[in-house]
Amino acid sequence: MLLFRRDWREAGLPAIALALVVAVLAVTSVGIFNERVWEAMQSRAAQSLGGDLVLQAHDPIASRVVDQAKILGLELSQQVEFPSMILTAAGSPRLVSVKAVDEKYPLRGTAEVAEQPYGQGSAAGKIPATGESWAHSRLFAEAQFDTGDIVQLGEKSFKVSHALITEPDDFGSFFRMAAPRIMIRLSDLSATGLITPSSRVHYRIQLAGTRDSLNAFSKWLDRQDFGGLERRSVQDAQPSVRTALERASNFLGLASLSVVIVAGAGIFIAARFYARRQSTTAAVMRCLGASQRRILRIFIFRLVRVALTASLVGGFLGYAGQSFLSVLAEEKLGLSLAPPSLWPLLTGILIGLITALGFGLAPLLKLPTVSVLGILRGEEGVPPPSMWLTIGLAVFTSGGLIFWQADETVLTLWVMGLTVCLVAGLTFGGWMILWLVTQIRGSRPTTRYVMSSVGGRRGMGVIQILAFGLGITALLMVTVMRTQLMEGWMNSLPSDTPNRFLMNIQPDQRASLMKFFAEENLTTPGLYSMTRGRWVGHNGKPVEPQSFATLQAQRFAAREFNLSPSDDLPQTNRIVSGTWWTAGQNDEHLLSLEREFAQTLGVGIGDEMTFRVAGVDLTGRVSNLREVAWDSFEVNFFVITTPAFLVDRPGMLITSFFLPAENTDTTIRLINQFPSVTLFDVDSLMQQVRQIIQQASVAVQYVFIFTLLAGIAVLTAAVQASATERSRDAAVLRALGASTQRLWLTQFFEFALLGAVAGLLAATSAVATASILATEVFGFTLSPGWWVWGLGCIGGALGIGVAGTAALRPVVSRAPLKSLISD
Amino acid sequence: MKPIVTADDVSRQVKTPDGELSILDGITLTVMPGDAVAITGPSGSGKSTLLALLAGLEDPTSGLVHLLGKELGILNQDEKAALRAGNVGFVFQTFHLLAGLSAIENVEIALELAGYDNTRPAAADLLDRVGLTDRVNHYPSQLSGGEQQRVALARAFVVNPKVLFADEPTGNLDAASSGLIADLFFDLRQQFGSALLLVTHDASLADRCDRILTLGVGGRLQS
Repeated sequence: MLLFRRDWREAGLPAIALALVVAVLAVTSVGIFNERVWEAMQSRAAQSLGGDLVLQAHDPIASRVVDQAKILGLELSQQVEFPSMILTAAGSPRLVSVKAVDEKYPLRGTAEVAEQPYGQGSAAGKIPATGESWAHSRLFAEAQFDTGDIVQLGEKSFKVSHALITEPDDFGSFFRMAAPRIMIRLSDLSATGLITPSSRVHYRIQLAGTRDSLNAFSKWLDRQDFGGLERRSVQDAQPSVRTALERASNFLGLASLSVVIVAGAGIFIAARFYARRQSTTAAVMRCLGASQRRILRIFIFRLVRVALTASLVGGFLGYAGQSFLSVLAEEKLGLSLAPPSLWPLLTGILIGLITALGFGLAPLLKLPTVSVLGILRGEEGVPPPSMWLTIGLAVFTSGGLIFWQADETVLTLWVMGLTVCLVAGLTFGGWMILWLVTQIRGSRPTTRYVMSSVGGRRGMGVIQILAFGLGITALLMVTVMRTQLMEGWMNSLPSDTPNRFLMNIQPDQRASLMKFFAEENLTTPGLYSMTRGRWVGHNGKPVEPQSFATLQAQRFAAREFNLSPSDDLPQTNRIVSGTWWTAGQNDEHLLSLEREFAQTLGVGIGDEMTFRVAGVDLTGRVSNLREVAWDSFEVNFFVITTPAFLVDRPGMLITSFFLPAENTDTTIRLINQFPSVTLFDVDSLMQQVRQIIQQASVAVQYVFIFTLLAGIAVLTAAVQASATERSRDAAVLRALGASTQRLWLTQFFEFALLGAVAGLLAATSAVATASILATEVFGFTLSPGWWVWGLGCIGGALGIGVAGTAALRPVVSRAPLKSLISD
Repeated sequence: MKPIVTADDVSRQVKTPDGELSILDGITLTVMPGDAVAITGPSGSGKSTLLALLAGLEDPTSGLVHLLGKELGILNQDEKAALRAGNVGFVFQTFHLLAGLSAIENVEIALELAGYDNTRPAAADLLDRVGLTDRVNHYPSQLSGGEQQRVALARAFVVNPKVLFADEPTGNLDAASSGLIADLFFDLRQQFGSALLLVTHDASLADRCDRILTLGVGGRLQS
């Protein structure tokens, strides 16, 4: 602390320390906050699995697995699922999907039941009572029974007590679940006598717990050899929830890294100021015989010492600060946040050190080579650091930090590329505008003083514009993200987004179904034909599911797909590689694959894939890869084919439509008129996606506060860096008779001019960056209004003008007139 | 005729870790219009502090200072600045030109602060008189030390000051430039008839003044 106090008295180091404290404070707070909110969001997403992790096997899961989960403190719920037949007094036998659950089911989310089929669901809060069952609404019509009736399942009778409206964990499989569900207690299962060694049964365990426990359990599982045991985590959950989570993560990651970049700009300015002020010390050291290496070592050591102290202070402040934010988040989002871990604190401190060296090292490197003669002549200063070295170090550091923070290669590359363009644009644009300012002639000398102070010190002016520009860009980016990007995302899920899926529609039902939709005033994006097929060949070789490395790939390779023929690319899909087929190619056998699906299976453009459809092998060539907006709630397919590929193959139709909540009778009329179709309600799933968007929106607003803090740190550093010169100028003007008001106005206009230029350039940068990110990363088009430029320019002028003038208050109000005199 | 500057038992102390240190002690002096007064003394004798107090750049711990008939102790910073504007000229050892302004703009700004319009012709005239006709649009960084001090002289005299405060005006210059600047400085003072308070170590410069005040250790007036 003694050493820090000594460093604190060194001109320039306090500015570095302050910038670092803010940077680490921001990074740590955002890091911990992100981690806690992310975990809470993950926890909500886990509702679509019924737990944080799900294990599934065709044979009873080994007791060792259960024991290990208990040792690690994980919660468990066990279920058994299998197809069977039910008998009712009135109807004929019906195929059902039986699910026997224990009392802890579900660990995440809740099942919803209603008194009547397709009724308004309410949280069950329990499982079926002994001897009772809950049946899917569709089954009531198919098997002709009502609540309170008795159904026979194997050797045991069950009273149907409720209609099962939703299960928290059925989303991952609802497209494959051909038979309607009937749910009973696990303890009633043995009495049915339905489970025999030859039964086709899925044994399932849902697990929930802390991230550490889950990670430890997964690692333990990796080391074991449980053949046939499938694992599903949140990452494998329903694509719509996963996509929403990934987008939320991108939003928060992007917002938090903007804080790092802005803080880095502040550190660079402060370090440059420090180096300038230390030039005399370095020159004296050289005169006294210190080697260049030794001088450099001394100054780097000082920088590291200050960085470490400031990072520790910032880290602990951030750790304390995030709890305030978390309380707000808990209140506003209704999230129950897990306790914070120490990892973000350590990360924050490490980021502080890296940021200090990455942004602060370049200016110091010139100190050992300072001109002794120049310094002895009274010329303060060191040569400016090499531009390439500065940019190289800054880009390398920000790139590394961005990657660390965002953990997203594509995002990192985009942001790094955009940052380089941003820095180059701000530097070049700033230089040009300041040059133009110096060309303005004929105004009054004090106005000229403002103009020429900005333009005459062009080097410093450009650095300040760069720093302010980065700060304003980050602020505008977060503002655009808060409004336009969020709005764009929300708009991608309008209030009339389809909330019902209708499957198993026979081709001959098309006309009557469309008539029904017209009568009921329902709109649908369209009916899609789909044919089930199994992937059996890849480039002429047979497909063997067990040969794939990942479980997900094995699952994909082993199951049947819905193949859908189409002339046109679906609206919510985007080609990312290859080209969509032209009208002339409709007769060819071409395939279009979802990008991640293709990557998982190791299939690329030009590959041949063979599918077995109703006993016939059909081969097609992959012509393009698509990115699918799974969270659009439109009907989407992993594999789309040209119409010719599936011509004359048996298929069914699928559609989606929006059903207003009050139209419960419509569902009953639909099921009565088309009893063979399968209806799925995805309202609660959509609700989850909407909640994730709202949570991300709130979190980004908090990140905005830190970006603002980092911006203030930059401003402080920039003001401190030029305070000596400004202070001397103020003293000269004061000695010549300038009033306080004139001094204030002079400072204000100088900063306002810098702010306006920086704001103008920053608005352009923010709009370009946000537009590219919206298109390339988030997958929708952004059309920002002119307000961004207005806000950037006016906000920059007023913000920087007022804040800069306020920061220089001591300089102006106590202009050190005595300093003009020697002695 | 009223005095331009008076000091009446002016003292200045500063606090140090070892207690109060006396910089100036009981200084009394009067400067009449047109007078040229040199203030000399060893380093640390407080001569520049005295200059700052007389010009209203600093406040004394005790005693009264009058500038142009106004008691400085009762004026606030803005009122002191208004009093200086157009009446007082400064020449500093380290020039203190505004780096962002060209030579002529540095001169014009003094006129503008004094409330003059159409400042360019007068500024150009002064720069011509100090021999910088060809350098009017140069920035301070593009001028030598001697040239910068000429601009500073033009800035000081352009408002036709009643009193000129000069702090080691040749202290930062080589011998050759020093002589030229000194000649120019005294020539201009004579032309404008300004009173002069000059802090200097240079005996030859001090000798060109009407009176020499010498400060001793502890800031006491010796003669």
